[in-house]
Amino acid sequence: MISFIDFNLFARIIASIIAIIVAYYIGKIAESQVKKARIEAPPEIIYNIARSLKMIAIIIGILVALSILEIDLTGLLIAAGFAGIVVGLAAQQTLSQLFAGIALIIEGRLKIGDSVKVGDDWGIVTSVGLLSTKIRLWSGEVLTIPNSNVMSSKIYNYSKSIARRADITIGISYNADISKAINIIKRVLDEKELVLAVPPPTVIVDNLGDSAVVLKILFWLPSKEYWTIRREIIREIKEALEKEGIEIPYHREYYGLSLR
Amino acid sequence: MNLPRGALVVEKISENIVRITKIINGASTSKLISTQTDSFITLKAIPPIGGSLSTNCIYATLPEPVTLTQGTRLQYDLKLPVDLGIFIGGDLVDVVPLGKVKYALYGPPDIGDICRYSDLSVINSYNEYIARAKVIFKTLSNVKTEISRLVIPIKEASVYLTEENEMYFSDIEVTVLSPLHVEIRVGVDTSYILLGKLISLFKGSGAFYVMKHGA
Repeated sequence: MISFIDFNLFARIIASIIAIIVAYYIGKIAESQVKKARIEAPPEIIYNIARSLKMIAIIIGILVALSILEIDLTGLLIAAGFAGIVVGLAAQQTLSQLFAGIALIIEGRLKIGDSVKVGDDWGIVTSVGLLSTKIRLWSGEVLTIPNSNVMSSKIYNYSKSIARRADITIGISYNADISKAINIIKRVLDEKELVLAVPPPTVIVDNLGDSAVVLKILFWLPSKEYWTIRREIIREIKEALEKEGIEIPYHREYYGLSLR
Repeated sequence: MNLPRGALVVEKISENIVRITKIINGASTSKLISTQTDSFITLKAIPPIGGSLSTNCIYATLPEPVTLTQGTRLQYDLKLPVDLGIFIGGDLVDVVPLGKVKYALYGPPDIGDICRYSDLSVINSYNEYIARAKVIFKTLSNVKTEISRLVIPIKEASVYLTEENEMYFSDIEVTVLSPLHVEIRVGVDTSYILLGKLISLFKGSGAFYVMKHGA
């Protein structure tokens, strides 16, 4: 009799383990199928739906396993309710990250592939999860930031704007013809295809410095080409000014020394 | 083939491969394209979609602003740049800009659009590589509206040659509903104002753009 009960219990334990394993694999298959599916939705939403499906499948598997073991789910649910309160208090930080993650995904502040600066960290968003966000820094490291930190940080999303303004300051000699220098700079900007014609580039005398007349150059570029074109323009302006005989002075200080 | 700013070389390097080499302002770029054995290579003038950026519109500044008063309508001839399209077997495989390429931002940088820029300086750089466009301005607004720029959608636009070898761009219709809502349609068949209401009959699916940041 005892051995029959033991066998029955053993069979139920085996069946419940199989239920959990099957549910786990179903969840895994569902996750991979959703990730591969041709769905027109942002990748971070697809990623989170896939993970949620896997979690739901595992929870269903556990519930099936518990019912196979003939454990009363009503009592368990009441206990889960109390446990939920306790866990909720204990896992406040995790929950705040979870809600921050949901808010980030719904609001769309960050998307996979966006060029962003979160706090002092600058890079490309590689994933927006429910608990954390991953950014591949320009130096190559992958930084994982808890979502609550992301939400409370200043976020600069450079991919949200299709165009960005570049500001460059350049000093020319006090002996140089300012109008000529401005015309040369404007010509360089006009010849560059990706410097936007509207809003028009502006070159102004910004400051009379210690060693140079400081010109400020403001122009707009498509965001994706910002850094490439900006550095090309700095080089081309320097070359064009030098070619036309306009000196770009460097800071010099003269000290008088009298020997007696 | 000589181009205004360089040259275009199309070579058949094997039975099924064509190499297109563009030499523009001294810089040479080339690419290989797989073709079918009996494919034809055709060069056609097309709306200006070439250049470093892919755009869907032209930002055209008018040589002189147009002022529309209530219930009026006027027709205007606008010059627009055209690019050279390289077609293999009917497929557009490359685009060569024939003149100076510049871009313009219409609207704020976060919600605006970057379009190919066209003004007199750009048009002059194209010389003969321009198409004329018939622009019809209409207003349904009660207030006087001045228009100095147009954002023209080019997705559905086409360029065609007349018997006199003149290039023409698809007709453009500009309808002012308010100074901050100016609708621009390209490829419109016909439209008219009846009892103060705009009645439009469209040929196919004309491209459509709403200028919400002022014209």
